[in-house]
Amino acid sequence: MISIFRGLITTLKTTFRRPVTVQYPSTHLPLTPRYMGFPVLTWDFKIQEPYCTGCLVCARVCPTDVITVSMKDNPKAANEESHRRKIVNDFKLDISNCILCGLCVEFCNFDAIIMSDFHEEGSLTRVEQDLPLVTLLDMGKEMQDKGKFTPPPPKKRPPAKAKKDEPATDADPEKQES
Amino acid sequence: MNGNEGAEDQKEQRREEALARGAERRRQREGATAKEYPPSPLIQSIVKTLRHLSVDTEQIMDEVIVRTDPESLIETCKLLRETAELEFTYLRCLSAVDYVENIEVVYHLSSLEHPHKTVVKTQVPTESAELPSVVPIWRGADWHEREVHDLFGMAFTNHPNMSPLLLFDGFEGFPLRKSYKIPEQKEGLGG
Amino acid sequence: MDNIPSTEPVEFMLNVGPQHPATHGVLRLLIDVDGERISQVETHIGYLHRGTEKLCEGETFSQIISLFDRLDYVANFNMEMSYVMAVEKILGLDVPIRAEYIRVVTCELNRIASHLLFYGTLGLDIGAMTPVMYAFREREALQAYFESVSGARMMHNFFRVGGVKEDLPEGFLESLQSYLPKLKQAVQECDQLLTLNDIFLERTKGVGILEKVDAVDFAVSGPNLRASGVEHDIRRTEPYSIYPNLKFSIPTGTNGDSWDRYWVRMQEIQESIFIIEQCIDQIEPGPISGRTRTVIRPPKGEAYVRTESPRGDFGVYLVTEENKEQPYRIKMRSPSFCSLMALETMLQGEYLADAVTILGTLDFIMGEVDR
Repeated sequence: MISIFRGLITTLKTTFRRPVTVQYPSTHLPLTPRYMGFPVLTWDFKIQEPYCTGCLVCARVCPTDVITVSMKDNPKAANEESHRRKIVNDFKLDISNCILCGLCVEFCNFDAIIMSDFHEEGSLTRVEQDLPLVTLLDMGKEMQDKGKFTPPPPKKRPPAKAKKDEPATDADPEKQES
Repeated sequence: MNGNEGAEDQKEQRREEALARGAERRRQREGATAKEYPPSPLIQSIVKTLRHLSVDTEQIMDEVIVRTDPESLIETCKLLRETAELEFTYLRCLSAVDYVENIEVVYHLSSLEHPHKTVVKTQVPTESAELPSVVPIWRGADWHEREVHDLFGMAFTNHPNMSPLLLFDGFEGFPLRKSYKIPEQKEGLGG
Repeated sequence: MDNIPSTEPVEFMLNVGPQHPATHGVLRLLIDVDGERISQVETHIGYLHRGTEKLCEGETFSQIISLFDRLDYVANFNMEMSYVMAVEKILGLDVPIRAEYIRVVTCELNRIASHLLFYGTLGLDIGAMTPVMYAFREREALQAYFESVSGARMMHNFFRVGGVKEDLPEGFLESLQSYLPKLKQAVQECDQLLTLNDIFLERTKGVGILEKVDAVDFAVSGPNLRASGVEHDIRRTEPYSIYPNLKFSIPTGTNGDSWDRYWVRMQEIQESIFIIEQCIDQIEPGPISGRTRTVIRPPKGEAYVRTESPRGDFGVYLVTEENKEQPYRIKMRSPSFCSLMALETMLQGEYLADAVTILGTLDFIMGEVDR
């Protein structure tokens, strides 16, 4: 009998406490900095082109095969505006099958793909679940505005040196090869 | 045509060799070498217990592996369970591996009384995949054997109930065999 | 007068599931009842069979980690732990000590989260609405910690072969240290609500006794085995990772009834908190991963690794080929699978109303049973 009253006292104590629940659609809990929402593509504001070169690493490493990529020659590389010889032509991400594992981000050599905060991307049709390149880049720009992405330091240089330099915008012949 | 195939084979072989060299180099670089495990004192007592049966006993890494043929499997398991100094009362795991020509059934055993463990392995040809059931020895083998029956098409004689466990009734083929082809998936709902 | 039911005994078969709140997933039971008593049970599983073992044969070693998350979807870190340990064993790879600590801290946190879920749902199963609120309040806090570490609340994909993906975020350990006393208090609250409650005792004491002999024979493991009086914990009998450095006791029951299974889990929460406190004291800065491995090609070999997941002895049997990015065969030995095997024996002769209690205290996760 005593134990039942002890239980009642416990519930009574919490009765006058502030509620811990959050009314979801109107209020959102804050997301942590490492939150993994859907992957999006980043935009190189200096050259005005995506970081993605369409190298297919993400498509190959994806456990559920939701990424479709194709590559083209970069028109900006011809007149030496960009150091990327190849650039992404088309990119499609099927978010209905994406399992948010973050492997594409981890394996990307060009920091072209990041995990975003977007997680409420429900839609009424299946077609809308295929995000095209433009949408992904727009989402990426939004994430970059929030400061979720720091441009990568140039590769093939010792990290100590790269810290001093600004992220390189000039053509780096060695990087093109990689 | 033939020459072409030969060239392909050679190319494949060279690729394999290169991969092997690369893997070896990588392992050395990372300091990942095969660890030394102390020899297990268990081997002697197992060999002593099973001396009249045709079994091979060896130690690989930290596991003592007992290789037996299907005929003496039941005898081996019984002895391993009932001998006083071994007492393998706990069936950790029962699994099968398909080596195309043969299917290997692996029994991971351990003892709750003593701090030791062992592995019993036996191979049967894939065409006539049939083994005696160990359910009379460990009741815990029941569902494991049904699962192996489902996924590998291995028949266990003397098993009390060999109905499908994980797969639905009427499923065709044995999915975990290497020869199994995954059917094409349909697009859209119900695919 | 014709409508009066006959008093002759009638064989009655009751179908429970596959969709039933008490089965915690998709489990189907065919229960033959004789009046109020259960005479025979037939268990049907496989409704959640996703063919993970076959899928793994087509995925690379780094992709498989994300598949393991989806086995026991309540204790994801523990599942990843077994897998990465199996690959490391074949590779002969040493893991940096800080990574081991991070793994153990997250695994033990996950064990607490899992046991809290058990506590809440058991309350629901036997008709107590309040416990689940208290349990989920704390579980939510723990999930926020998981999110801050791995970026995901459930499917973490955080452990890597040779280490972990990222270091703990800044201020994590301090925050955790200040949270643990609160968690202790919350667990005490949970205790007061249910553990010695008269109604709860009536519903669980002496119900669904799993004899020691049966438990060992069916290879039941984890809290279910310990509740039957066998002091067997993989963290103690086959210590892995940094568990040899940590002090903890193994709570063991005596009767093997539902209350014992419940009590063992509640005690384990306390032990896990104790383990985490020790880890916070002992952890030192250092590397969190060996060389970054993008492509893993282990040598030919095989390894069987078992770890203590919240549900018991989770084993991974991994067979590899030389120079292949995919494993030749992976078999998961799941503790819930073996617990469910013992269900038919346990339910025989029990009241039908107690079946739900027994299902609840076995604490199985169908994702892990069916794989």
